[in-house]
Amino acid sequence: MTYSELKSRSKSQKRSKQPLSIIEVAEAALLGDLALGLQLIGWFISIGALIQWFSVVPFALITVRHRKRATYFATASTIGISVLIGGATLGLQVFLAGVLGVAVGEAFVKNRNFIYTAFITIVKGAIPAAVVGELLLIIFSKARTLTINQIKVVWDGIGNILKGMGKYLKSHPYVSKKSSPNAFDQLVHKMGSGLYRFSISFEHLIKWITSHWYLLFPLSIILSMLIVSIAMDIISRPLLKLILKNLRQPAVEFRADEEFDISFENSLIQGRNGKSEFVDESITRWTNDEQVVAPLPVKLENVSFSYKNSARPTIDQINIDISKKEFVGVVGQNGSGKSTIGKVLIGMKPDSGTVQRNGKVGLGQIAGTSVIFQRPESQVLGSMVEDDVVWGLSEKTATEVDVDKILAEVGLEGFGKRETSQLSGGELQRLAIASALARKPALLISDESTALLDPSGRERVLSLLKKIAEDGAGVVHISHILNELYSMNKIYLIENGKIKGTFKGFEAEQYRQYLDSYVNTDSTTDQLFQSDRHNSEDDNEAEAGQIVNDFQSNGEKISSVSAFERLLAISTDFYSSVTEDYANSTIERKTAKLNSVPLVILENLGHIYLAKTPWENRALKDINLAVYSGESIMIVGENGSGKTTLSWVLAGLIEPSEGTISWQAQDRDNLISSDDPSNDALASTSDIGSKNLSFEYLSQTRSRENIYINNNKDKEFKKSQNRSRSTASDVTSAIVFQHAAFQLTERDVKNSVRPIITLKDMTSDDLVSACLAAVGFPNSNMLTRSIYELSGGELKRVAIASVLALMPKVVIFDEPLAGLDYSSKLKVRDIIKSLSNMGMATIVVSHDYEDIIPVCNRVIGLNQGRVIFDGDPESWENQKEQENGK
Amino acid sequence: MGNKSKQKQSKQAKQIVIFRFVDKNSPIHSLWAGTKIISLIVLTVAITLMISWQALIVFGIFLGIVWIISGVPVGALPRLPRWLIYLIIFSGILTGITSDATKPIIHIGAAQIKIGGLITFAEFLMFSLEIILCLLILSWTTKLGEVADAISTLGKPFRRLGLPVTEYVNVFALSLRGIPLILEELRLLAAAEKQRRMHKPAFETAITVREIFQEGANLLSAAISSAVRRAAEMSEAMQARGGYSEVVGVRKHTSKKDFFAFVLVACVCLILLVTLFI
Repeated sequence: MTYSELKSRSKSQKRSKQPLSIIEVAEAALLGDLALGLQLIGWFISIGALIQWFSVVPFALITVRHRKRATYFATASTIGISVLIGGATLGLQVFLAGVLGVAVGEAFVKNRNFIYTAFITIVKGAIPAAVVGELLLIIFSKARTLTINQIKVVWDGIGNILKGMGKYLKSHPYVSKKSSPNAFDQLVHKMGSGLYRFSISFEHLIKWITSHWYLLFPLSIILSMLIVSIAMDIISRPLLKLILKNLRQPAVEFRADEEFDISFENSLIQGRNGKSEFVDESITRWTNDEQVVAPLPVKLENVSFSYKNSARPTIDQINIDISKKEFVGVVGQNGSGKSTIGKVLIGMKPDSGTVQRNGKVGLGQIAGTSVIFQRPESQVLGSMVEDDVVWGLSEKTATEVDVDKILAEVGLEGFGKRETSQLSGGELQRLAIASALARKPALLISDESTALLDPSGRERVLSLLKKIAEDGAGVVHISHILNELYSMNKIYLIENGKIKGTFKGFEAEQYRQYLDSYVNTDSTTDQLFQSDRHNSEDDNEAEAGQIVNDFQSNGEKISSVSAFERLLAISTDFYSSVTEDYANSTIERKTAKLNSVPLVILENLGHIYLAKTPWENRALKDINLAVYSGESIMIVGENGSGKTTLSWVLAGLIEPSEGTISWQAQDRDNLISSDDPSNDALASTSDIGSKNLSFEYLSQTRSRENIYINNNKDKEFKKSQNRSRSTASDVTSAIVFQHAAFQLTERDVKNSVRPIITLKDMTSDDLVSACLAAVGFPNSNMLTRSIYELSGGELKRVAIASVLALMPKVVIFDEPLAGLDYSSKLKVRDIIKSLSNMGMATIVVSHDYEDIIPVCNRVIGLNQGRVIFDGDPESWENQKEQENGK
Repeated sequence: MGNKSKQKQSKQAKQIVIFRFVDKNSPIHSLWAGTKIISLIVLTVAITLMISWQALIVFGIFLGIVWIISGVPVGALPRLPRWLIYLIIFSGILTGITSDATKPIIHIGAAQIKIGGLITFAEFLMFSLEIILCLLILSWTTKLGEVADAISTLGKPFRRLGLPVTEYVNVFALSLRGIPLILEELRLLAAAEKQRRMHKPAFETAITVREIFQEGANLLSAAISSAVRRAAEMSEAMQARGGYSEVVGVRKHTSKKDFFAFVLVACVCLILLVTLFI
């Protein structure tokens, strides 16, 4: 199907004058924002002016995907915002981008060439702009005179300088004094008179231009837009093709959870096949409804549903009933079909089976059904907390809602005047619940709403949901986290689209037993159920053993892994001492540390954002740390404790405003073996040690002789230090970001993993294969797979491989487990463990303490930018327990 | 190296600061956002219409007073890049010395200095700076979120003219909501790109222009995919709330302060008008 067919199809459905649909509003708003963002980048970076032109592309994309009406609204609202932010100039730039976007998009859809684009641009953009501009210039005559004078004055100045230079050169002293001027003098004389004549005509030109502004102003607008439109047409087309090709596929980063990620066309809004198949078709306003809204009680009998491309039904013969005051859990692994059940509950028509209700679902209506979703920041629609609570309610209803009371109910007392962009994930989710409560829902569906939250946030949301159920509404919590569901009245365990078990009443023990047996019979969902701390440590050993077995049983795997090790050995020598231990990866971590090298030392490091402004914000203060090879560190702390800043500083993405960060083992030349450490070096090291908390900690576990010090070439060392401080190229750590999409921008795995700059003596394929093997993809068939086919867990691992390809010595993970299902979590955890066993240092920044800590041997606690704890996990837990005890 | 002091001078971190609210408790802050937007529009139009030295001075004093009342520290001013400051100074000198605009001529001893050009330049510069200061004061004293509600209310009269105000207001409000999200995504995307670029192994092969373009295209594509996906998620959330409605937010009534502000703005406009005849 070509784009034009697609377009005409969507056009036949909606007349151009109908109000924007929900998805059109959303895309117009967010793509408009992106265009604005691209414009703003232009202010702040050097090649920005170039980037600004690409803000045409988002507008063109709206035109291609939706009606022109959507682009008009996107442009108009973006102009409104940009005028507030950057004044009329920015507004004008956005206007031009919008017009060009419409023109390019239309030409693209209609398959016309650049002449069409230019024509549309002139008719719709340049001529109106010229007319309006002319009118404004006439009305604001004083400002016009001033501007023209200013232009004149500047150009006059330049003209005068040229004139003066010309005069001077013309009457070059040698010409007049010497009787026989040589060739050079004559040349100077000629140039001088040429320049003089030029400056005279230049002066005339300026005079003519400034006095004929009424003619030249519109002409210049039209002419420049003609040129720009043709240029943008040529540049934008391949970009649009690429983007549309990528958009065909579900977006990368959100594949963690199952059905919702199956491309946009299957999503809640459009139902199957791009058409709305909801029983509840009236989504515009609820006041005119004739039928009674009564989502509960609901009874699903033998309900089945399959998506258009799937071989087996997503849900198969499901029987569920839900009534008031019930807190129901629907749980299952990703891909089990649990979210599809949620969609049936909010009104999607099943293929077969019956759904019995007393009335209509009433999605988002008073006393109807409300849904809260997984991603906290995407479901909060208002910029202010109090605006979000009443978002979508009619004016009359909105004024009746007691916003403060509802906010108090969800624990957000006094948050009304705050901006939603300042809230944490847990607060956002509770705000989403508040917005649901403003509608006094009869049925509240929570679709994975706790998946991205930290344990305390999760707990608060769950207890809130339970309270809502006790207050009279039916609450359905859909989740893949199996052990958070003990307090529910009823639990449906879903597997492969079928109900595997139903637990009524408070049957925690029975449910637990069931899960245990479930775990034992299914090897792929091993560790499905998370046990307590001590068990997980034992498990951890077992898991490590498992990796070794995997590697040994699979010859190919072994060879690829050692390829990665060889690679590491090429890039830097120092891994070799530890890498041989990798085969016995169950070795005591402390031993590994004993043989290791200090990779990086942070001294008195601090960072202040926006120093000397009212927004000054100290993120880090007096950080003294040393990170050693083979360590695996978890950084813990509340939101705003400086975790992210610290990890960005370590990765070299932020240059700290205070203190130093020194990379000790920069390269082979700077490495001196432990046999001949110079005395000075030792002394200086102990200096650091004496004031360094982490150093003391480490010295307990290792003798000081083992520390590699790079210091008999003091100058060189300082040089390397300076380098590591000031230039980015030496930094040898890298972050695995939370969202894989930002790290994997190419279409296939191979190119995504391949670093931009590759090693000369090793083909990039070898590098890529080795890195992929290190994250557990030993087979070469992974190389050619499309990024868009991968599951959330696979994607995360490929993202890790792409970071490994940068050859970091320290790998930093930002929330590595967020949104992953349990088996993927285990795999990612194994990777973290194996990397530190290989001699890298791994640093994990995460809220998921319980899930991460089994693979970590050091905890750094941050509070308000300071290190409040640095030591092993056991003592951290002891300290926590003591604090709780008090 | 051990004992050497490592305290470096605190550097000004490069960071994008747009429309950033300064949390102070002033009468300006407590004004309704709509009042401030209307005042901004009226005042900028007035000064543009009646531009002159006298008007610029009057307006400048007014803005100064408003700034002082708002209690926003001077540090909130955006830092211009060095080259821009040099450019302004350079063009000032250029026009001041060389221009033919003759009118005021200063006699210093025997020398004549024509400063007509310089005066034009200063007038233009002052005008630009005052307009920018207007916008800055709005952004310092107004939360971005408050603007949505203001636009929603201000748009009401236009509804009668049959204009599609509901759609505009909703796109506008959602756009405002999306700005922090999109900027954060662009920041992360830039960081990931920076990370990829800064790791240069010892032996490197050159990258071609084509590769640079390809990389840029991929980045843009990633940013757009992410925005489109975000839009899809937000529209799911919108659907879950029953679609968009004609208002975005709780009504906030204007107070006496707003009335006073309007009177003040009208006075300033009058004074500006008077300057025309001085």
